[in-house]
Amino acid sequence: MNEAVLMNEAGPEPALAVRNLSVRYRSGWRQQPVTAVDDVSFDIATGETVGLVGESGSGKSTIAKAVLGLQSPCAGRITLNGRDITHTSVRQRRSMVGELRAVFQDPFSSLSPFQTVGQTVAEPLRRQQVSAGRARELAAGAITSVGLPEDALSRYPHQFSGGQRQRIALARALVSDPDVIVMDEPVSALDLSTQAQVLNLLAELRDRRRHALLFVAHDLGVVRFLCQRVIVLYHGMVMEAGPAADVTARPKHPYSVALTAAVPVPRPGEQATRRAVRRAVTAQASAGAGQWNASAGPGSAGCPFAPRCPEATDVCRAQRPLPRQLEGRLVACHHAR
Amino acid sequence: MSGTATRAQARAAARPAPGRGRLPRSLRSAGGIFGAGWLLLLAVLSATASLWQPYRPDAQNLFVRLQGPGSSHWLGTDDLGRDTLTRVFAASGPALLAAALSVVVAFAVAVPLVLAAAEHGRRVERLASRGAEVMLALPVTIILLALVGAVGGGDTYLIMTVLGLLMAAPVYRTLLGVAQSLHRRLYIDAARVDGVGPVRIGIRYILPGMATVTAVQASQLFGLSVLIQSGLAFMGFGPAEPAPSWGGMIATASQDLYTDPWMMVPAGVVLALTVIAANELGDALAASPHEQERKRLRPRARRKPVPRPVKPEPRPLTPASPLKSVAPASGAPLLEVTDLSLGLAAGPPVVTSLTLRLAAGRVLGLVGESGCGKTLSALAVLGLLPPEVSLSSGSIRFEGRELAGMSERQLRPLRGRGIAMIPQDPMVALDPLFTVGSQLTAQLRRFRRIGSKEATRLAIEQLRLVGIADPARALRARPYELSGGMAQRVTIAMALAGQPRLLIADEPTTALDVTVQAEILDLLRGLVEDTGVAVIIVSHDMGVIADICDEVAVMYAGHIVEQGTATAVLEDPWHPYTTALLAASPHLAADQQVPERLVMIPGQVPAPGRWPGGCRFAPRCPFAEQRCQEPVDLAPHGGPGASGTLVRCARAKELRELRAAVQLASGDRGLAEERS
Repeated sequence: MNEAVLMNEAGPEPALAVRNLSVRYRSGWRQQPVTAVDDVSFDIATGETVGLVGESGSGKSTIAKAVLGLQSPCAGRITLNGRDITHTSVRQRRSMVGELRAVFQDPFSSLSPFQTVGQTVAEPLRRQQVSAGRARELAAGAITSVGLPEDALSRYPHQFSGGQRQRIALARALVSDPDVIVMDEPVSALDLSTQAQVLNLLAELRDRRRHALLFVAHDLGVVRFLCQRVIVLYHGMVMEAGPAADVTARPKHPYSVALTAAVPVPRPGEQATRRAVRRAVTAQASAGAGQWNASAGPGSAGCPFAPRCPEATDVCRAQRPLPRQLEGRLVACHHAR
Repeated sequence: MSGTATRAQARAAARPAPGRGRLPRSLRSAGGIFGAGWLLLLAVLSATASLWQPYRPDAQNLFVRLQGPGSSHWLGTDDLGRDTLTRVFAASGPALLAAALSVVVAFAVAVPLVLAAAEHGRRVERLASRGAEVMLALPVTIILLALVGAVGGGDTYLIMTVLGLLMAAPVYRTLLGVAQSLHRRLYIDAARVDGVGPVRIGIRYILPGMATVTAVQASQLFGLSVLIQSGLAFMGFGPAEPAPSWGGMIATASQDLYTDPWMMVPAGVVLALTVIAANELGDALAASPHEQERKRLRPRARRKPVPRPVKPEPRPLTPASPLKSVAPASGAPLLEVTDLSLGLAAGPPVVTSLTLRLAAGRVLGLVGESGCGKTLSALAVLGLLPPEVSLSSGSIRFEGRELAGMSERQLRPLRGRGIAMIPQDPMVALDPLFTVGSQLTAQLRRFRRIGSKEATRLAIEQLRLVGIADPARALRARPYELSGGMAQRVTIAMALAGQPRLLIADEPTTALDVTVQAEILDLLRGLVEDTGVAVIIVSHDMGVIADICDEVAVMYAGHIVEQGTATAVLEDPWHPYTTALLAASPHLAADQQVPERLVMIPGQVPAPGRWPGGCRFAPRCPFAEQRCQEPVDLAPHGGPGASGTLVRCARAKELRELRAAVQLASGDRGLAEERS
């Protein structure tokens, strides 16, 4: 039932489909496994940009890693253009280089310092047995499409600034013209003016090309600017999912409400009002609860957000709310309306 | 031998990472030049020995036994009348070769194991590591002696190969750590997503990263290997007579030590120099990454001794100063920074003419992009500038006392008690080895001179003050057991331990999640309201500034471009940089429409020393014109009315009128659309 809602109406087959994905980590051999992602499902259609938002520990990066094959899921299924890629090895992934690519958060460590930009950008092509000349041509095309001069190819990453490096990382993703690009916090390490430049470049990409973008971010403002749909995660579970404009402007789930209210806007007047609201909410909720992460963690019966939620009642602590449809979006809350 | 040759050799020895070019530079240190030079000299002399040797190494002349240095035998002769110079250098070739062999064997065994262990994860790693541990437990000397007993001492190369095998274990241990940390780098993940296989990842991505450590280890092992080799030869397990070896020559010399001590000198000195050269080379190679690291960490180096300010010229504020219009001060200001300039030692200025006033119970925000000098400005108040930055002029008055020019010793009683600091990343600032309680009570006891019981009581009170729900439990916890938000609350409690009047917070919420950030900002605001402490907050986030600050100073390229109350500056900005920063932010209020594209500020903040002569923002400013090439002063605009903002822009007034006109026009259009 829920899947039907998450499916995009536009296309018959999504570019990327994630079904009931769960990921568990085991930190030590005697430790209890920690559930990082708990039964998450979503689709991304061709040409669509979907934001995955949450705080640290919400499982958003783990989902990106699972899609990229860097983390093996313990349950669920991931399909790329209809092909099951849940447990494919690196060797098998070589053939998918043309379909699935990634941009990582930290442009300072995501580019090998030992290779020229040209080698880095052309690397995925070389795995596909593209001829050296053709690869150079494509790399030059990719690097100019992100607004860097062609001679950047012969230089090393340390000769570029953070914003330029992130453009290089983007060029590496674009060079094989993939169907799906996973972006894990691509602008969070950048300065404000550089961030605006890269965000505009991504917006350009979103409007001009037909890539499906999975955009992982902790910054709701960035997601609101860039994404068509947004999925709000908390403790590895989907709290709310729907059109980005609706969810960010009129959130329904108490967690989305808290998250949107917490993002500070550069208007002192509005921030003063928000502070007053926040103070009222904290006074209402048991002060300081949840600090110790003694919350109903994943795996427990109740809603994961209940310990921090100002509107939590007994049913929230006893029963995990199932995602239900509410005005064109999915909300996993007993009380949202 | 020319310097170029030295560097060429050094380059070959160091196996530099391509495109970095920093290893050869590191060898320009005295130790590096000596180490590489000496080893190269030895290699050349022994390789060309047949061309210059005055005698054959085994040519005896019993008439000239045990001679000192002379014209026919420069370094004298041994007990059989053989030329010492010839023999020392005849021995060097095989010695160096054998030592190199052991090093090559050690790395040839260790490196593939390291790559496999790092790539294949726990199972392979355990197997290889247990093997290495067994090897490490073996007594090297005894095994070598046993081997000598079995095969005889003549076969140096076989013995050195075995030595290499034994040395592979410590090499493995060292390199494994490096490889594992490299494996966690994002670019390895990126390569995997690119479809790069494990072998290629090892060769193209991991090996270059291990180059420096490999070079350091290799040169040290080389020295060790030369020593072990000579030791064996000294005991009589070296190359059989009459073949020369350093250890053998020293052994021979030791028999005549009392009658002819000279004989000991040439072989001993050459052996010592060779071992020292190898170690010096290793040190020089090891120094280079550290230097890099230090450079990278430099902006954050806070515990370095603070240099005395060069020339403090306190300049009192004149009543006619334009600054009077900033912040209608209630009483005497707590902090008064006047015309402060900071400069790199013998370099360009990094902050110029900074003037700030802060009253008790007020929050001042310093905002700007990275590289604008906002962190340095805040650190200057604490006297905690990094060593290469010094105060070149201006005054810092805190509670009426002049801080500029104070020595470290004079500043110390003020730190923590008068002015305290909240760090950026609490997890880095707290010591993971000690409990929160011991760190907090230590602070309290130091600042308030109280007993431990009293300190614990106060610590609980402090933790409650910063909003920690279960303070007793928090005291027992170690920092890593805390969430990020709690850790930041603890560092705030520690900063408050000395009851400071001024808190300096450098990006105090950047490392935190937004909801936690909101809590911490609320906490700080509450502390300001309750205790009357003043806060200087450094941030790049206009939202954070809007949330907590009363006053704002927008910094660009080392000086303030706009200064005033937060409401005035953020809701009604004058300077094009402030306007652009606000428009570049994707954080919008719920009722604001999402723009199609964000406003971009082209280019980057110019580095200190590259600031334009006129308006420093002019090259990036869309409104710059001819008169922006002249320096601009920070001046009040809009009169001394309610918004007494100071702006550093020649066209401020004009631009404002222009903007108002545009807004009016678009408003009219909106109105017209609404009507139609």
